[in-house]
Amino acid sequence: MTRSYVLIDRESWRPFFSLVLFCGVALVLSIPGARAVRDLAPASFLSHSSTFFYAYALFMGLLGLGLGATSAERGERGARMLFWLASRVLLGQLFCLPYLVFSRALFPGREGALALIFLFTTLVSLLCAVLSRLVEQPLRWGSSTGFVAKYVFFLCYNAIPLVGAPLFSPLGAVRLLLEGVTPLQALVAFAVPAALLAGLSSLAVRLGSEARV
Amino acid sequence: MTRRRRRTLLAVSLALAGLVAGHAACRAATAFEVAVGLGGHVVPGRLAPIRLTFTGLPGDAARLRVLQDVGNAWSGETTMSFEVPLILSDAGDCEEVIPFYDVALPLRIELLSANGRVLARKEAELRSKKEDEPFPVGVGAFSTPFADRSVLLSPAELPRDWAGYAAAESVWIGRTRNGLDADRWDALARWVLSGGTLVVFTGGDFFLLDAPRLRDLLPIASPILTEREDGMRALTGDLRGDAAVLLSKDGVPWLIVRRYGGGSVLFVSTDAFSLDREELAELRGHVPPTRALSLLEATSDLLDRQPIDHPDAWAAAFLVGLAVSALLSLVARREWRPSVGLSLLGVFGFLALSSWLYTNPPRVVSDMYQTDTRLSVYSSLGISVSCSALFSSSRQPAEAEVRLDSAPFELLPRGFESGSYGLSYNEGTARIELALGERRLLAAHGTAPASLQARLTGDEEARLTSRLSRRIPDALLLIDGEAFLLPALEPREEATVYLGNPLPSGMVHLGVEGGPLERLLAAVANTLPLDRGAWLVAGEVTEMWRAGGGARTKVRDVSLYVVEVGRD
Repeated sequence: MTRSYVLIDRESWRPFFSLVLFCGVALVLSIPGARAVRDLAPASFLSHSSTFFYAYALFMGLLGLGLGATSAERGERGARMLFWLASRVLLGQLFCLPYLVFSRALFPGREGALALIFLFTTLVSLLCAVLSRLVEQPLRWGSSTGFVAKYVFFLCYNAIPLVGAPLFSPLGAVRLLLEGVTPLQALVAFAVPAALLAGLSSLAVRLGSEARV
Repeated sequence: MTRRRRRTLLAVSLALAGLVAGHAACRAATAFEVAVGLGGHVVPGRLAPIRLTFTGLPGDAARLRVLQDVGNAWSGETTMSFEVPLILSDAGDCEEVIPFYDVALPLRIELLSANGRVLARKEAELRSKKEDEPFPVGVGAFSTPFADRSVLLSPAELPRDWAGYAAAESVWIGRTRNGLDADRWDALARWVLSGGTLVVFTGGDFFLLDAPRLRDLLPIASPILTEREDGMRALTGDLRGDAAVLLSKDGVPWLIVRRYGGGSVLFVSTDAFSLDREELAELRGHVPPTRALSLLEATSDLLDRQPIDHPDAWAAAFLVGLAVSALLSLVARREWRPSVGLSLLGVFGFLALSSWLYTNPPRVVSDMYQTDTRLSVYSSLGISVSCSALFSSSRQPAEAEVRLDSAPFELLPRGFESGSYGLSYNEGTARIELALGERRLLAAHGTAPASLQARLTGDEEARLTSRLSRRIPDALLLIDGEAFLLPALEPREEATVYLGNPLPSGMVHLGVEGGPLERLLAAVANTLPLDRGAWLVAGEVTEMWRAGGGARTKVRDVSLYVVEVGRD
């Protein structure tokens, strides 16, 4: 059964809620606790750190996984499915916009990097959403196997590249974008999720068309 | 080729060859002699003069670079580079004052052209010039050595910059053939103002030394030469108000002391050949050690206390609360409608706008924190001592530029294994690089025109003259330990103020109670005897943000003026 396409409602608000709540907590934790310079050195672990941006990248990815599952549950398919997934990801970004604006006080003069991170997390979230939608195809996977597979992939995608090629991990890429990258590094950071998204999207559209036939 | 052409070609070739040879000869003849320290002695960790005497100075010589390698393979190594414009004195030499950290490796001195080309270079060995502690410096001739470890200099070897006396424990002026020139008297007076000790032998030699600045320094006014009962010629005169006779002979004072700024001037009424060993020993017992005016410790403490700018965590928590509440109330119990989408857009757009308005400059985290302190001490002359303390909280190495009056002294750690302590000073600007959590301390000395003056014109009134270009909001007049509150000192204004009743003890504050001005004043009071005599103390604290070098720096500037007050 296919329901009408909606952006957000009482059955699909939880992934958005997690995003807003946990990114908010991370934002509060990112604020330096120090009152004077002498307090800065011991408190350097969390103070003035990129905690918020790591949480932002992580929870935007998780939002994508959640949105993909909801989309599969509702039987959305084809190009319209892609459009609505993108709209929901942008809605997630709207919810994070107050935090992003607030976080510029923690990274003054890096507004360009914040804009790049905004675009990058949108891309990663959409990639995760399409991947989740494909994995949760009821005919292909058992629900528990699909659930485990997509979260294992997400974990590996974020963690493994950190060891040798941080640019290929969303967390590493966010860190490098914050610290400053060359245009080539930025291009590589965006190219990986963009290429994966293009491949998976065409697969999702094709599978959607086949299912309709 | 015609004969005429051949001749022209030959003439041009010869002229070119001559030019090249002349240029090469000129280059080859460029040489300079280097004299480092006071009489060739330096104390590591202190400023010292460096004097260069040139032969065959090329016309394009514009700058001087002094490179100093510090440390070793075990404790880590770093290089200090000081680049200053080449300014020749009337005598044709060039004198600079730079800090010396390490004497293990030779000093490298380079003469540069305006475009940075090295015209000549030389190394100066320092190992044999090392002294562990400041030492007494004698100028001219003495009958017997006046102190152990003393170093004797001719007047021409004396530095012209007061900071060059940093290695001197005391300076003794004996018999000189032609006295001292005005620049050197001024340098000595400034050094005494900063806490130095000057011993001047006069007697029959006074008129060889006589100079307006010397008369300003002496504890007696209207000096005249008299003959004592023992036949010795002694200089006598009217004792100044703050002078004290320490030793007398046959009823005639022969040792008188006077405080000048933070230092002391000891006046010996007879010449340098008139005292026997016992009398010299007695004199030595009255010579106080020099007290160096340093703001390093106070500035480091002020940097520690410098407030951090950041958004309030409660404001962030409030924002999170609003965002979560909005999401729950608009979405959690509702079906999707386009009006819900518009409401979400409106609410979260409003929250984003509120965040934008909230995160204004005072709530933005800085990459670097800098506390600059500047003390200006005025008597008939003026000196300035400045210090900059920096701390980096930036994740990336941040470059800092610090404007200073002179080549700065940097407080170095024992080892350089971590961090980069190299410093590059170029014509008034020191450039350093700081990694996350690193702290640096720089100090510099300079001269300053006496821009503030004060005179006590009666028991209850004082005349204040300010030639400063800005208003100084906080001021006190200290008279023999009692404090009188003064109004703000307006720029370029002369005013008579009535002193009224002194402030009760415990209520004496310059600026905010326990604030930066008060802490700096407490540090200065360790060197300048502010509890004796009359002083005007004034100051201001300013804060600003500076962007540059990829870093945002919050700078707190603490300026303190200490003026020795004259009496009518």
